[in-house]
Order: sequence, then C-alpha cells, then structure tokens
Amino acid sequence: MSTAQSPAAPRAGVPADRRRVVLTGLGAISSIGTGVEEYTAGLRTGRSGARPITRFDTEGFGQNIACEVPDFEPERWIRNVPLDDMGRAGQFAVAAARMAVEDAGLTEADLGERQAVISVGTTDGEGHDIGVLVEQEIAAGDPAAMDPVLSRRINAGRLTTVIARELRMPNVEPTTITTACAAGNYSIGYGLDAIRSGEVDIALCGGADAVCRKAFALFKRFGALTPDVVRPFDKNRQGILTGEGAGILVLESLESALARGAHIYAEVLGYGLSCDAAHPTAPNRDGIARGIRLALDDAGVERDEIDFISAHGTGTKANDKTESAAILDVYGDTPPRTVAVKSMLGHSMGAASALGAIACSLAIEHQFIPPTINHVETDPDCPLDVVPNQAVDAEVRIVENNSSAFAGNNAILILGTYGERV
Amino acid sequence: MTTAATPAALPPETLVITGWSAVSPYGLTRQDFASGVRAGAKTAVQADPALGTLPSPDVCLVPGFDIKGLLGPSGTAKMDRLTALALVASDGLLKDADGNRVVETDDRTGVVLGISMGSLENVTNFLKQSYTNALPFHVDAGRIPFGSLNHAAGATAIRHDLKGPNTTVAGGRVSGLLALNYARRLMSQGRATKYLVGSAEEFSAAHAWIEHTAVAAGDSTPLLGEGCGLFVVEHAGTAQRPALAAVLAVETRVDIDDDPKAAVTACVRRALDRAGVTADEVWAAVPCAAPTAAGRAEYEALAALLPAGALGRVPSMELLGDTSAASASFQIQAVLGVAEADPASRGRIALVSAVDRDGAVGCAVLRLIGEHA
Repeated sequence: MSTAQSPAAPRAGVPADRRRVVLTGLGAISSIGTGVEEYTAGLRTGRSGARPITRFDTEGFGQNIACEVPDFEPERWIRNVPLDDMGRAGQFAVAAARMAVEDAGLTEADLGERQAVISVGTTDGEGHDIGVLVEQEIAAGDPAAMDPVLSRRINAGRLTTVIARELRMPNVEPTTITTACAAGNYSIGYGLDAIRSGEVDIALCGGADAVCRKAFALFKRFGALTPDVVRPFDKNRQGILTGEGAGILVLESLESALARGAHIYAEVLGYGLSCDAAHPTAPNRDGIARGIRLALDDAGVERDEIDFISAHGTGTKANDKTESAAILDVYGDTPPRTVAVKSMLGHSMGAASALGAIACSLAIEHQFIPPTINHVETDPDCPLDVVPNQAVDAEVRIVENNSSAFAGNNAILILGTYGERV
Repeated sequence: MTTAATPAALPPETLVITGWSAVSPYGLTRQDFASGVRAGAKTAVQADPALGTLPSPDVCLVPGFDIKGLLGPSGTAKMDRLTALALVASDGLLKDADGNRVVETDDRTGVVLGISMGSLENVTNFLKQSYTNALPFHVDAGRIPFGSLNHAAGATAIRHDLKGPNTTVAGGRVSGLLALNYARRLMSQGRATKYLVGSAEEFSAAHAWIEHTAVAAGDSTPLLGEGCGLFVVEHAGTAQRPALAAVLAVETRVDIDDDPKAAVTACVRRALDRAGVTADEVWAAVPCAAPTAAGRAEYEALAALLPAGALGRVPSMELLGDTSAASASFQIQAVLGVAEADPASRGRIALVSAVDRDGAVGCAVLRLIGEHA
C-alpha cells in the first residue's frame, strides 16, 4: 500500500515515445479580469474579485458576497450558437475557448475537421439553471411549468459539445469531466495524455462554473463560507467565497506548435491523479501527497526544481492545514513558495484549477509569482511562504498546480518553461 | 475475415473486457440482465405512487432495489439512488455471490464513471429546502456529499479501497463510451493497471419532469429507465482473467450541423477503420435507440452501413426504456449477454453506437472472444 512516506510506484508500461505537449493559447474569464491581459494584471496587482452577489436572491443568508464575473459580454465571443442554447457556465466555457484559440492564432479553418479533444471540467455545470427550474416549479406548484429552454441545457456534457458547435469542430472527443473542484486539472491532464499518445495534435481543456445558489447554500451550511474575504493559510481564515469563470487552454503537440510558429507559453510536463478512498468530503494528507509525487514522477521533475506551488488553497481551516502538511510531507522543511490564487478569485469550483494553471503559465511567461492576498498572519499549521499580499518578480521555470475535490479526488499538474527540459 | 482471435493472439496493449455487472430493469445481477436481454423481455411497469406525480405512468425501474437491504444500514440512510446503483453494481463486479473478492485490485486500479447530471433528485430536493425552509441554508447537511457529481465514483473507491485515478465524465447516452475511452487512454499512458469503467443513471420524479419538459416538439414523453453497467478492463498482455471481448476502437464526434445521421455515419466509419475491420464483418450492432429524431437517424445510419442481420442480433434497447447515461454500457453488455449463449459469436465483431441530446455521438467496435458454456 502506498503511503505518504513511500515513493511513487514505478510506472510500468509507460510508452517510451511520449510526445511533448505545450500550451499555445489561453482563455480566461474571471472575477479579477477577463482576457489574458486583464487576468495577468489582476494576478500581478493582487486584485480581489469579491463583490455583492447579483445572480440570485441572498435574503436570509446573512451574507451576500461572492466572486462573480462583473463584466461578461457573451456576444463578444459567441457567434455561431444561440446564447440560449447554454447557461452561464456554458457561455463562460465557450467564450474562454474562443479566446484561447484566438490567442493561439488558430482560425476556424485551421481547426475544422482536425481531430481534437475538448475537455471541460465542472463542479455544478448549469446548477444555476437547475435552481431556476426548481423556482419555477415551486411558483407554479407544477413541475410541468419548468422552462424547456433551461431543462434542455442542464446536462454537463453540453459544456464541451457547445464549444465544438461554436468553433465548428465536429471531429472531436467531447469529454466533460465532473470531478468537482479538481476537474480543471483533470481535463488538462486528459488533454496531455491524448496528445502524448499521438492520437491527437490539439486539445482544448480547462474548466467552467457559474455562481449559483446551490454552492452558496452548501458551503454556508457547512460553515465554510467566509463572511468577508478569503485568507488562505492565515491563522484567522474563515472559509471560501464561491466564485465563477472559465479557463480554457490550448494544448498542442510540440511538433504542431513549432510547425506553425506558434507562441509557446509553457510546456505541460506531467500530472498525477490520486484517490483518497477514505472520506466523502474531508481532504486527506496522504492522498494529496501521493498525487504530488505521482505528478513529479510523471513530469520527470525533482522536488528542488519546483519554483512555486499554486495551492488548492481554499481558505478553509481543514483544506489549508491538510494541504500544507501534505506539501511538507513531500518537500520537507524547505518547501517551495506556495500561493493561493483563490484569495483573489474565490473558489471558482470546476474552473479553479484551470484558472490556476493559466496563472502558472502567465507566471512562467512574465517571470513573477502571484500573491496570496488578504494575508495578515501565517497559521503555524501552515508554515509556508505564501507570498503575502504583493506579487514578486522571480525566476520561474517549473510550477506545480494543486487541486482537490470532494469524494477524495486529487489532481496535480506540473508546468515548465518550454526549452528547459530535453 | 472472421478468424477467431484469442487473447494470446491480441497485441498485449489491447484493451480487453474481463468482467461485467449490470444493475438494470431486468434485475440486480449480470445473469438477470443477460437472460432478460436474450428473452427480449419488456421491463416497463406502472410506477409506484410513492415516486410522486409523474408525467408518464410507466417506468423501467430496477426491481427490488432496496438500498438499505442491499448495502446495509451504514451510510445509506441519505444515500442517493445513483450512488447506490453504482455501489451495488461494483459489488457484483468485484465479488462473487458469497461476497468474496474475485477481482484483484491495487493502488493503481482506476475508476471512471459516466453520468448525465448526477442525482437530480438530490440536487432539486436540496434546492427546494433552500427555497422553502425558514432560512435558505437550512438544508439537510447529511445529503450534501451525495449531491457532488463525482460522489458515486468516489464512493465506489471508498467501498473497495481503489486509490488509482478516479474520474467522472458527463455525456448522457455517450458517457459510457467516453468513460471507456478515458480508461483506455489512461491505461495506455501507464496511469492505471486496471479499470472499473461504466456508466449510471437513476430514475426519479425530478429527472422525469425535466426530461418531459425537454422533449422536442413532435416527440412524446419518453419511457425512462435506469441502472448501472460496469466493466473490468485490462490490457490483454497482463489480464488476470479471461477476456470476454477486445475493445478495438472507441470513436466520438459532435453533431455540429443538426444532422445526426451524417454524424453517426462518419463516426461509425472511422471506428471501423480504426478497428481495422470492414462494415461487412459486423456481426451485431446495437444502437442506443433513443426515442428522439437523433435516435431514429442513428438507426437509419447503421442500417445503411451494416449487414442486414447485424441490427437484429440483439433485441432493441427500447425494452429497457431510455436509460440515458447507463445506456452505452448496457448496449455493450447486451451484446456480451447474447454472445455468451451463442458459440457462433466467437471472434465476431460487435458495434455499439450512441447519440445524445447535447450533440455527442459515439461508437465502439469490439471483437467477441469469450468462452462459452
């Protein structure tokens, strides 16, 4: 049995001829900025996405703050599919995908019949629409009153197929991954495997979620909702803010990227998936540590090569303490700097680790480490340099992006500067 | 060419199915499913009034599905039906009738489960509590974990101590094929040595009403089914149990032009091509038989491509109702159930296809290699 103390199992049966995979396009929609430039500025300046909720009526909750995207204009990005065909999460996903392929310099003609993977991770999918349907049923006293426009679009599979329809890409594998709050990293890892194997040259991967009543009520009921701001790894942290947005990344085989002279943000070096098989909601130190070791092993990276960790870092008592312990288990007494972008973005659920991965890519691109904002006093149970409050300029070559989810699912991603590794 | 392939003749990296279980409207076991399919038996029954007001009087429910009775009292009081279906199916997959483990697992055994939108009963009940209770967060905390879309896969891992990659994929009727391809790909990259793979759907009033209101103009309220189909898949070279079928290809596509017949045709052609077989070699073909225009187009596409006898080899999936996310796994299992009673199936090619409301299209091509009684 593998434990936090034992090394990762040897990877029997790993193909020797794995192809290298790079990131050539980024699309980000977030509460601290939409588009790569604004998102980068938000990360560099330590913007907070916290603001009053507009999506649903918060009366009775005793609080009304979340990290909503304030300035989203779907019609700017979505041209081919009627906006009504998707809910807000779908609109985020499609818009971020459009942004990512444009950023990559790929036209619809370039994509067309090309075989690809489209994988979007999500926690709640169109959970907001389900909430509206329930409201309609209650108001009418009759479930037949539910709006068909909404009931047709609630299944999470649509988050990927609608991207294919918008980008006019029929020849794709549309794999929506609903592994909750780790789903973004899962999706990026799946794209990595698909390209590494030689089966496809291109994958659009990431995550999307929209602020909804379900998530707000759930975390409030669990006592895991902070009344004001998110303070990951701080002694006085009080929980998460729910958030939203989408992050979609263009993953491309190195050959394809070089052949078309694409700009390369970073190389996807590897990832690791581990399942705690222990508790339905509590984070698990051994499971997280095992996931980190699997990722380092898959990437062929040594521990001392990691320049910083983008933590899952939700700001709950349990997560931050457990994740810190797992990081120390793997890295010993001198762990890399470990930051929590959720201090700025809140917890954007399925989008969270995708936006985290984009933050890592931008950190590599621009040689800085984003801050953990709202930080006053580091919790002795989380003895980490969290880069408090101010971004720092730094040499950033290899980065680890953590994510964990309810049901005991951990997904850890390793990105690196392209050209550093042979 | 219809030469019988044995596991020894398969390339070692070939994905093979070495076990399966079905919790279905035919019953709780694989045997119930196989005999029900072979008999072509109908499963629709009049819904129990305890299910509440429904848009249609008939349903295809798993008979005798008593969650506490099947899984014990611990942890089941507030368990959603979807999780319970997956857990009972996983018991049937990994254990014999006496409860002994018959499939070896280790820290690199993965789980991937296909779904539509999880337990809609759980999430809509949660929201109803939030809307109607004195305070909007006065919701039943004990039910919350079951509302996570990845809960059933995670609970399966907890029940059987499976610490390998654990994933949930969503794609409605295509989700079983997406899950199978996911397992194939992660195994090919050395991330798991073996996978529990399949898909599941629960019936509930919430699901029925959402499907009812979502029906396209001209279609009638669908007869809904439910259940969970699971497989053990391994590599032929390292399989610990005899192979029942080899997975030669899994291909997917998105219908971007509202032309499901063309999308299915393209998908099936490529799957056959990848599998290295011709359409003439297909011995059995099982469409998802969705009660929609896309389902009818799927049938027409297969009928135009494949030999006349192939579509009649396995009784229609209509007999199980629209089992949504469970369907693609059930389709493969229907072929395996027919094949296990027909020695002529050995070495033959089977094809399964699926279309989903959201536009996903999928096709799997298998070679049947099971031993026969």
